[in-house]
Amino acid sequence: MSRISVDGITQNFGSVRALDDVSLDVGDQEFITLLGPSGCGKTTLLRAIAGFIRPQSGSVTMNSIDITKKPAHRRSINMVFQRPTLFPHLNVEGNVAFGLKLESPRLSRQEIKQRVQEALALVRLDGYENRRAHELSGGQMQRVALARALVKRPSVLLLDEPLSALDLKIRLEMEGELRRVHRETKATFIYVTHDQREALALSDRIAVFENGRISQLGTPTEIYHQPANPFVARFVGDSNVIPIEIASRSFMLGNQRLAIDTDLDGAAWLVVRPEKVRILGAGVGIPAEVSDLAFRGTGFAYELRISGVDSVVKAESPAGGEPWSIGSSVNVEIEPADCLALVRT
Amino acid sequence: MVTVQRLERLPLGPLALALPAIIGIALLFVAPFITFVVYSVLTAGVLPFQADAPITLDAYGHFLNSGVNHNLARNSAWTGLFAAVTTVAISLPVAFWLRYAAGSHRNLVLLLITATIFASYLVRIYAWRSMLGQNGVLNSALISVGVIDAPLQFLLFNRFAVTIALIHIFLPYVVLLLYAALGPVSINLLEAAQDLGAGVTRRWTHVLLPLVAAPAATAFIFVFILSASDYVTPQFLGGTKGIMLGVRIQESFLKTGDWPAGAAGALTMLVAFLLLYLIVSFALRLLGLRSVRFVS
Amino acid sequence: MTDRIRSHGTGAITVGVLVFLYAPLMIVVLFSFHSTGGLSFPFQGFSLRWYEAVLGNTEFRRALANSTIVAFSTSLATLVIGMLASLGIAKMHGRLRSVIGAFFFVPLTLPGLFIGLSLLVWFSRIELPPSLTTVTFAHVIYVFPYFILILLAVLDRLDLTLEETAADLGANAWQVFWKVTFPQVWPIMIAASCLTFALSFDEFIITFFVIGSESTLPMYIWSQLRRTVNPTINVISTLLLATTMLLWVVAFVAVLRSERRRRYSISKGAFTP
Repeated sequence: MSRISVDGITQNFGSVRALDDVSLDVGDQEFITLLGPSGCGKTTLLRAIAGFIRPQSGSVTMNSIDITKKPAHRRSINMVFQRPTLFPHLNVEGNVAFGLKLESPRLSRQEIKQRVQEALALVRLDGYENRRAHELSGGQMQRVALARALVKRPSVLLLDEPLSALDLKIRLEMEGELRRVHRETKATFIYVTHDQREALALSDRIAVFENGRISQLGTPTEIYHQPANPFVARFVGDSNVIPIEIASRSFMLGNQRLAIDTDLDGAAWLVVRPEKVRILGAGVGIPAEVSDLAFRGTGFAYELRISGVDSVVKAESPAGGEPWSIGSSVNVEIEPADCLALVRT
Repeated sequence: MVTVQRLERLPLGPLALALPAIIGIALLFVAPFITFVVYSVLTAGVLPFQADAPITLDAYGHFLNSGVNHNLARNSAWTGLFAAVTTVAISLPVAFWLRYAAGSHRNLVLLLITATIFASYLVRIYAWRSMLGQNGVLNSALISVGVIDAPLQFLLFNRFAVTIALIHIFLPYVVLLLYAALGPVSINLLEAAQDLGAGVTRRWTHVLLPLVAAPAATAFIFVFILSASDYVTPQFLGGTKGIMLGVRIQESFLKTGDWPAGAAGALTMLVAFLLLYLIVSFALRLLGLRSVRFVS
Repeated sequence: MTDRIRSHGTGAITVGVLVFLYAPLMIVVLFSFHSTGGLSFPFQGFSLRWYEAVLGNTEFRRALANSTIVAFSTSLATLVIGMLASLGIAKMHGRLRSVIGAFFFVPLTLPGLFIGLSLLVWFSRIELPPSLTTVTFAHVIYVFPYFILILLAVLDRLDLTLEETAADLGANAWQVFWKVTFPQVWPIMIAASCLTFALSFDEFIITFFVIGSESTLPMYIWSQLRRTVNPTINVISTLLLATTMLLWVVAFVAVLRSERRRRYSISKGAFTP
C-alpha cells in the first residue's frame, strides 16, 4: 500500500508564497503529474514530500502515518533529480548499490549484487556495472539514477523533471521506459514537469499548478477537453481563450452568431482548441485574415485575425495541399460541440 | 586559421616573449639548485663558508648518523604532521559551511578569511608569542578574570606553540583550497545521498570525503612540507623542546659555515618530502580516491 | 530556489576559526596603543607615544625605505618579465605549453628555506656580494609564479578573435598588445602587481639568506624580536598589517572594476582603433 497525501501545505520563501494551502490525495500505484510553468510551486511540493523541506504549515501523510517531521533519509520515498546526480567517485554498480548498503538490517553481498542486477535490467542497462558517470550519455545517466532509486523498492517514487535536460528523441524514448517501469514496479509515481505533452502522455491524473495553488485536478482527458479555467485552457493544449458575451445560448464571433450548449449567460470565455478551428476558402463562415503561419511537420499552425477579437486566433490544419499564405482572406468554421464556455469575472 | 598564422609570423614569437623569464629562472633557480646539490658532496674547507673538491659523501654520512639530527627530524616530522592534520581537519567544516550553508554571508566570510593571508608572517609569530607567554595576553586575561591563579607554563616554548602558529599561518590557504575543491560537488549530490538513506555521518564518509580526498591530500602535503622546513617559528616559539631541523640547517650555513653539511641535510629533507608525496599518491590510488572526474 | 542546508555545527566552527585567525592580530593592534607598553591585561589606557617612537627611529625608516624600494623593483621587474612570459605562454599550445608552463611554476615547489640556501650558495659562487640587489633577484624568483598564475587565468579567458582581427587589419605585435590586449587586462595587472608588492614587502624566509648589511622591514622586525620584549614591535606590526591589507583591498577593487568593465565592453564593443 502506498497512499500518500498532503494537507494544507503552505510554504514561503522570503516574500514569495511558493505553496498556498495545497492539499492532494495520491492513490495507490497511481502515476500523478504535477504540471505547471516554472515557479508555480510544483517542485517545492515534491521536495516537501521528499523531506528536503519542512513545510511551514500543513502535513504530509503516508499510509495514514504523519511523516511531516521525518527527515528525508528515513522516509521510504525516493527521488530522481532533474540533473543526473550520480556519485562521480563510484561506478554504476556502486551508485545503484549505494542506498542498499545503508539499509538495516544489513543485506548480504549476494543479495545486494542480485538486486543491483535486477534494477539495471529493469532500466535496460545490463552490463553497464563498471562504467563511470562521465562515460555515460545523459539518458543513460538518468536511467542509472532511476535504477538507483528503484532498487530500494520504495512505495513512492518522486521524479523532478527528470527528462528536461535530455534531447527530444531521447525524451520520447524515456517516456515509454518510464511507463513500462511504472507498470512493472507497481509503485506510486509523483512526477513534476512543465511539459504538458509529457504530462498528458504519462499520467493517470494531472494536478495543474498556478502560483502555488492547484488550478485543476483530473485525468488527462478531463484536463484537455474540459479545462476548468482560462489558465489551464491556455497551458494545456494551447487553446484559444476568447472573451465573449453569451445571450440565450449564442454569441457573436466576427460577424456571425454561433450557437453554444451552455447554461452560462453574459460575460464568458470561449475555449476552443486550434485543431477545431477549421479554415475554408471563400463562402460560408467567419471572415478572417491570416497573420502568420508555421510548418509543424504534421500540419500547419496559423494565426488569424478576426474582427472584434483582440488577440490572434490560433488554428491548425493537417498537412497536404497548399497552405494559406500570409495576408490571404479566409473563412473560419467552428462546430458548437467543440466550443466550451467558462465563467468570466 | 589564416589570421592565427599571421600572428605567429610576427617577429616576436611566443617563445621569444617567454625567453627573458626562462633565462631568469634558469639563472636564479635551476643553476643555484644544481650548485646546491653539488655542494652537498664537496668537502668542507679549512675556512668556514667554503667548500671544494674532493667529492665525497661524508656530509650525508655525518648527517644521517647524527643522533641530534634524528631527534630534530622526529620533531620536525611530528610538528609537520600535527599542523597538517589539524589544519585540514578544521578547514573541512569551514569549507563545507562556505559552500553549502553560508547563504548571503558567504562573500563576507570569504573576504575576512582571505584577508588574513596578507597578515605578515613575522607579525603572526610575534602575536602568538605575546599571546602564549607567561606574562602574555592569554595568561593575564585568565588571571584577571580569575579562572587561574598562576600563569600556565605549558603554552609557550614547545612544540605546541610552534604548531599553533603554523596552523594560524596555513589555515586560510587550506580553507580556500578546499572551498574551491567543493565547487563541483553540487548540493544535489548530498541530497541524493540523503534521499537514499544516508544520515549526516554517512553523507560525509561516503560522499563528501571521497570527493575531496585528493585536494585534501594535496593540502596536507603542502602544509606538512612548509611546516617541517620552517626555521623561524621554532626559533621564536619552540624553545629547547620545539626546535626543528630547518633551524640547524640554517645555522650550518650562516653560523658554523659548514656548507656541505647543511646542503646534505637540506637535500635529505627534500628527498624525504618527495618520498612522502609518493607515499600519499600511492595510498590515494590504492584507496581509489585519486582525482575524480566530475560531470556537469 | 536556493534551499540552505542545515549547517550541523559547521557554522560554529567557522566562527571559531575567524576568532582564532583574528584574535592574535587584533591584540597586537590593540596593544600598539597601550600607554604603558606592557603586553598584558588589564589594559591601562590609550596612547600614541609608541607610534611617535617608531616613526622617529632612523633605523626603522631606513628599513622601511629599503623594503619599499625592493618591493617596487621586484614588482616592476616581475610585471615586465611576467607580462612578456604570460603573453608568450597564452599563445602556445599543446606540449610546448605544458613544458614551459610547468617550468615557470617550478619555484613554487620548493619551500623558502631551500630557495634561500640555493641562492646563498650560488651568489657566493659567482661572487656576487649580498645586497639589496640580490634580495630583489630572490624576490623576483619567489613572486614570479604567483604573477603568472593570475595573468594566465585572465589571458586564457580573453577573446582571441579581437587580437586576430587587429592583426588582420595590419597591426603589428606591439600595437596589438597596446590597443587590444592591454585595455582588457590592465586592472588585473594592477591587482597582480599589488600582490607581488605585498609578497615582496613581507618576505623574510628567503631574504634572510641573501641580504647584506642593509635591512628590510621584516629583517628589522626580526632583529627587534630577538631582543627583549619591545612595545614598538606592536606598532611596526600594526603598520605592516595595515599596509598589506590595504594593498589587498586595492587589488580586490581593481579586479571588481575589471569584471564590470569586461561586461560593459562586451555589450558595447571593445575595439577602438
